[in-house]
Amino acid sequence: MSNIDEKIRQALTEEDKRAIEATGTMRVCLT
Amino acid sequence: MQQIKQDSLNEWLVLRSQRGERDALNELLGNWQQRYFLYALNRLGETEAAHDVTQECLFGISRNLKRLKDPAAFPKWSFRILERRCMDWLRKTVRERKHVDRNVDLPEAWTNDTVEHDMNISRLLAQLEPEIRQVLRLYYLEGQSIMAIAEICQLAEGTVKSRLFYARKFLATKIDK
Repeated sequence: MSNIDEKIRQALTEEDKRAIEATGTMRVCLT
Repeated sequence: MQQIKQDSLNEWLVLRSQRGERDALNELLGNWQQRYFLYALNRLGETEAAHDVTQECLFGISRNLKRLKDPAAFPKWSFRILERRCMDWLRKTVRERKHVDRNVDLPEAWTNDTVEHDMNISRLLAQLEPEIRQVLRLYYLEGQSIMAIAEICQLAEGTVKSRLFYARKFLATKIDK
């Protein structure tokens, strides 16, 4: 994976972490 | 190796769920729901809407899972369901109307030299159109192939490739400045 690919992946992962911190974890019960 | 293990577990859970084992279905959906939620949140930009769409998607999966012939195709198949739910929501939301235009032009930032230089890649990513970010997420975070992304998003493979190409080019240009 090239440097730019790795940077994009890391940035998206960090973005998800911040989103989880801001919104909490998703929990849905289907049963 | 870790990915192969996860794929195998996933396929095993799909097969057990298709046989009607409720605990397997709960585990399967539990493993995926956060990823669906984050995709929907990125797509819709609203927490409540992302929760609603994710929930609809999970119900859709549980209702239709028995029709899935290839358990290995579960990620692509389920993201296709999720993307359809996202598109339904976007179509119903007038202020998000521009998001449903599949013939979206390249973001102005790609061609506009006056865009403020910013070394922060997250901020650069935020400048990209939702349609571009959607492809980036599926490719980099979900590990989907070009062909799979094309099916999930109902795009031509060439469009997926060009969105990836331009996103990389845009980011590389800004970072190298």
